[in-house]
Amino acid sequence: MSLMIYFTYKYFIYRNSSSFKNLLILMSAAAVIPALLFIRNYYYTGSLTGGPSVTEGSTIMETLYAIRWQFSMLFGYFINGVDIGIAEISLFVVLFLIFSLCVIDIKKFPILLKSIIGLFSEVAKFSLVYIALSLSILIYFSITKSDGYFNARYIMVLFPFFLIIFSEIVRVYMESHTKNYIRNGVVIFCIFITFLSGQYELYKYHIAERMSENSTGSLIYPIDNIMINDMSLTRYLEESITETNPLLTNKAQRLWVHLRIPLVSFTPNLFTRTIWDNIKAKEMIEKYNIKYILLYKKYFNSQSKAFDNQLFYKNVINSDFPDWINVIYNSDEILFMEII
Amino acid sequence: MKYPFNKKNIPYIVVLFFFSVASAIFLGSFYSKSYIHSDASQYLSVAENIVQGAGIKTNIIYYQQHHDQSTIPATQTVFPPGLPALIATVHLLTGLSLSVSLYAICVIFFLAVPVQLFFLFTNTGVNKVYGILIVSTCYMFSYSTDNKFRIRITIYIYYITKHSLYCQY
Repeated sequence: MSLMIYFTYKYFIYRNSSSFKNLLILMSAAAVIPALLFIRNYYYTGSLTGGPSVTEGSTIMETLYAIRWQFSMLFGYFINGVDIGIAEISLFVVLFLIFSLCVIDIKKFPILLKSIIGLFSEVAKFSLVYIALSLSILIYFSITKSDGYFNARYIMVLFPFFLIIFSEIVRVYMESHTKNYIRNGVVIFCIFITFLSGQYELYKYHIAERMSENSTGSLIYPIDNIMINDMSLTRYLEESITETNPLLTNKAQRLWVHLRIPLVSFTPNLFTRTIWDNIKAKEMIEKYNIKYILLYKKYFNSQSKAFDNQLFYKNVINSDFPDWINVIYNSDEILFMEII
Repeated sequence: MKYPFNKKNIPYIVVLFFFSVASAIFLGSFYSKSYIHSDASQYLSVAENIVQGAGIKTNIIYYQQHHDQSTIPATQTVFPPGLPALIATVHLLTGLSLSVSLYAICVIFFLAVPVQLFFLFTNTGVNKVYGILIVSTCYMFSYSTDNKFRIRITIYIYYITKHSLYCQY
């Protein structure tokens, strides 16, 4: 969308064949996939944006917190909440230096900013507009359409464009202070350390997460320790699940990576208008000839709007089992059931 | 419209190559099945079906489009087949497992970003040493996020770089 807006604007400014060509190539490339997704969403969910607009559960503060967290996941700053480390100190120092320079020359600041942007290359100007438009659109839809949901992967694509702008600031700065080699070197080194220290914090975070019991690998650990017919549940599933009797589970995509067995899942309401109550669940179970159901309780958030349509899981978690279910194993973490 | 591969850039390209190899080893040391994003499992399942000659199908029935078909495996109509085809190709050519093939593809695309950014910076007149410093931050960031976005970044930057060079030459 931001590409479309940018190149439409450029066309109306220049009105030449080159800008029309850019508009046509990039706009069509950028428009075709979203258009297909909109059509698909409307067909399956009755809404262009793909499912219900679930905004009533989140406040603006919660949304801002979600966005702040995802920026932390990208740049590494404040990843440990209020704990201050080398990354945050480096960031504060750089921001303080920038702020001080602005205060010293506060009247000239807007002119300075304008002249810096004026000296930017076309690519950097494009990057600036692209980042601003993309962030605005993402934040708008996050607040209005998806309950404040905001994922770092949405803004990851903007990271190189951020570096392009950064390189342009460096270039413009260097060209205006060509003879201050030491000062230039110190400035660049400080900013570089600030970047790297954030990335180091991110690295530490991921290492700690990988080592924790909450890592995604923990899908296998709990079922490895459950014994069914003198074998672990993991092995039992590997041996008994086939394409003619797949497994129904709430973690189908992640579990498949580990087990490589045919898996079926209830579609979250972001992608369907089906309500998975006991009747619909039974219909689906009969359709695929499903024999077993594996529910990871701790990964099923019954309060989440995304799983609002999965009434069957809500019922069984509350021990309200239909008469066609036989519970084989039930703990705080895992519920393993057989279809009678 | 070509990349500025001239003799003056060779030392910098060597440094970038060294960074890339070091980063590939570093990122490779992170490999784990649990590190694969949940959406990527759909790509892997399609790749597996391609390798087995079953076509562009998935064994993970998750989206409404899959449920509508009422079969396992179901034809994959949610995600495009390009990446699964690439994973299958790498798997068949190298003998690596499908998961490792996916990871290797993502690391390679990911490491192509700093190289392209360096050429872009060179083109816009940034000092090459500073350019190296700036792009080196790219070698570390956000390796936990969805793999396919790394590929998208690489493609974006490729076109932006081409566009930039086109403007100049």
